[in-house]
Amino acid sequence: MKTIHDIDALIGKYLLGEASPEEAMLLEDWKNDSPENDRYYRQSVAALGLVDQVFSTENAWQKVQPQLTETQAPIRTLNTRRFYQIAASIAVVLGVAAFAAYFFTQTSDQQLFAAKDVSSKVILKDGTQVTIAKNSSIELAEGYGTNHRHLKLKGSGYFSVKHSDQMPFVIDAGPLHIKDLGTKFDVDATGDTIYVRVDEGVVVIYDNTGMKITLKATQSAYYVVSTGEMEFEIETHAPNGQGKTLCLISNDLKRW
Amino acid sequence: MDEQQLIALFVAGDLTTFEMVFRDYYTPLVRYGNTFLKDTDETEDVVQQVFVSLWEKRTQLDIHTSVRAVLYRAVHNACLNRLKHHKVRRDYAGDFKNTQSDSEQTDALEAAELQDRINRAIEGMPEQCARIFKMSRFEQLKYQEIADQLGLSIKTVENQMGKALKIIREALKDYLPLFILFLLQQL
Repeated sequence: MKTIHDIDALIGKYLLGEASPEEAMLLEDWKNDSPENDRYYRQSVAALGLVDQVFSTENAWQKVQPQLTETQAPIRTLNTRRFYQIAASIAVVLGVAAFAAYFFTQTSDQQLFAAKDVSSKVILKDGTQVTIAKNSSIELAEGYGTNHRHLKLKGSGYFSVKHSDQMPFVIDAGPLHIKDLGTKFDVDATGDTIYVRVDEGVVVIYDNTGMKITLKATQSAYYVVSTGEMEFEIETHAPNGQGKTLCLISNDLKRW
Repeated sequence: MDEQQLIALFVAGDLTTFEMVFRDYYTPLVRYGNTFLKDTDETEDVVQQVFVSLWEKRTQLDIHTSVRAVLYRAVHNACLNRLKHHKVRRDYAGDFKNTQSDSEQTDALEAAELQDRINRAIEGMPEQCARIFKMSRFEQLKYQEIADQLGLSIKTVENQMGKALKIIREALKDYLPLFILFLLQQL
């Protein structure tokens, strides 16, 4: 922090409307350093025949808050370095996935599908195929496949969805909703980052605050849930050479 | 929370973070803005507008320093713009009483006594110091204007004003604690 050579000159400058923002912050910090400093400041205010006014922050907030409208979350382009990291991770996991045993669970009234040590593949009764990564699960909402197709994802999953206009397919991943518009896509909601990548078709991602974004084939997006809130990043990745569907995104993603 | 996190949440439109920032900085920002506008109601309006427009522009913000620095800068600029629009706001030039709006008036007797003491302190100042102080406080001249008129550097004006402030504060030493106590009760 800058040292203050002449506090009287600084206070004078400030009180007479001559202080730059930096000087004002410097004075504010100095004043908050000790009660003596604060008293010294107050005495200076009085010495200049001025009065420090009080006003209500609460009232002000009540006025300001209604003017803060929710708008779309900022979208930022990922840098190339990050994309290569992602690509590398996908490749690594693909290798692992090749050795993984897949369990095929046939359609039933089962609501909860969980994969423990190895990933497992599930075909839901509407024909949707889901590969659930290890330590991940999906839970179908009550009435799945009858009048809606809502499910909750914990962890990572790869979805190959049979599109239906009548029954949109919606995944809830934390604060995020991912809606298929005819698609193969990947969702990782393991950690603080929710990752969505689309291989085929179109997906709409939205949350409850009005944020909404459409992802097309070969695009991917990050949704960073930091202390309950978010930041959006989007990246158009090159069509991957590995071809089509089976891409699992590892939990490692969240550690980037 | 470190500054980078704060900036990220602020830019991402996190309402809780925004409210926290508002509550932390509203008072000091109004106090700062008021040193330019000398009208608390108007300054409150300006500061509130600064917050609202910052919220609206948050995605375009490129914050290199800190959220706080951005707010101080924004309030500074908004207030100076206001002053320009007001043309020359010299309505309150004159004596001390007139530098305060009605709501700022302290008890008339107290104010009169304080003013009397201040005037006596000014009389006891070195000549250049008193002159600069009067030009600033009574003629409402900016530091730059005083420096230009007297052919001094702006730094000299700053230092002389600091000196004047010190002299007055010293002269009011016995009186000020009482006076401030009285003010606090009023608030």
